[in-house]
Amino acid sequence: MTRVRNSTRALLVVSGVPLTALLAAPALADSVPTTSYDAGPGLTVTQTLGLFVGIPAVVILTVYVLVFALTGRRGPRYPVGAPWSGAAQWFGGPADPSSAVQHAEPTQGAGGARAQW
Amino acid sequence: MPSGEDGFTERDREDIRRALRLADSEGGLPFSVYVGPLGDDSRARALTLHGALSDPGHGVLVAVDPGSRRVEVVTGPESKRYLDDRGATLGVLAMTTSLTAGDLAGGIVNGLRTLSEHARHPRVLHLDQP
Repeated sequence: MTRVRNSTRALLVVSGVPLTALLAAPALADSVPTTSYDAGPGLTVTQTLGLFVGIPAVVILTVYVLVFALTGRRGPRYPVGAPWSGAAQWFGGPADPSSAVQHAEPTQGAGGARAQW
Repeated sequence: MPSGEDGFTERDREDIRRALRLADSEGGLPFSVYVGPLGDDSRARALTLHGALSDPGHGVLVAVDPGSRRVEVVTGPESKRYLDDRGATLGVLAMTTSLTAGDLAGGIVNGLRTLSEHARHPRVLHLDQP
């Protein structure tokens, strides 16, 4: 009795898969693309150039202008060793450097290091 | 003069200010950077500039004369206990490495970083040891 029940179950499983595929075949047939389609009127020479040359050129130009605007307006760097014609710069120095230096005494007992390159 | 009237771009100035802030917080000493002519006796001029700082005893001055290619690091009587001459020499060496390549702001930033790394407060018994 158990053997018959198992055989029936196996028969159902084995026959179910091909049966399902067979029933679904018409639905799959609808999704197969047709080979004859309307390609449209096509592009003119001007449209083709605009699409494949004009748009990339605009993108490249935009990126170039952005890069140049961010970095190109910086002038050349000060060449070390050239005469320092500008005013002295003091970072973290006294509030009024000129008067502070005028009234300053050289530090006694100082340490440190020096070099020339 | 290129890059503005004083040889620094705005970005260079911001880099130096940021390096100063980091050096102050890490080294615990008030650092100061002077860039300009130092004259013939650069050491004497640097000592005078150091004396003009608000707290010369604890302050550290980094003076660079790009025209004559000289750099001076001056430490005060107190700050040289934290940043000894050996540490100052290493800072000067880090600066000249970049300055030789023509990078003025980069040399100053590297020098400040090295100086602040070597500016360590001396260990105090009962405070540093539990």
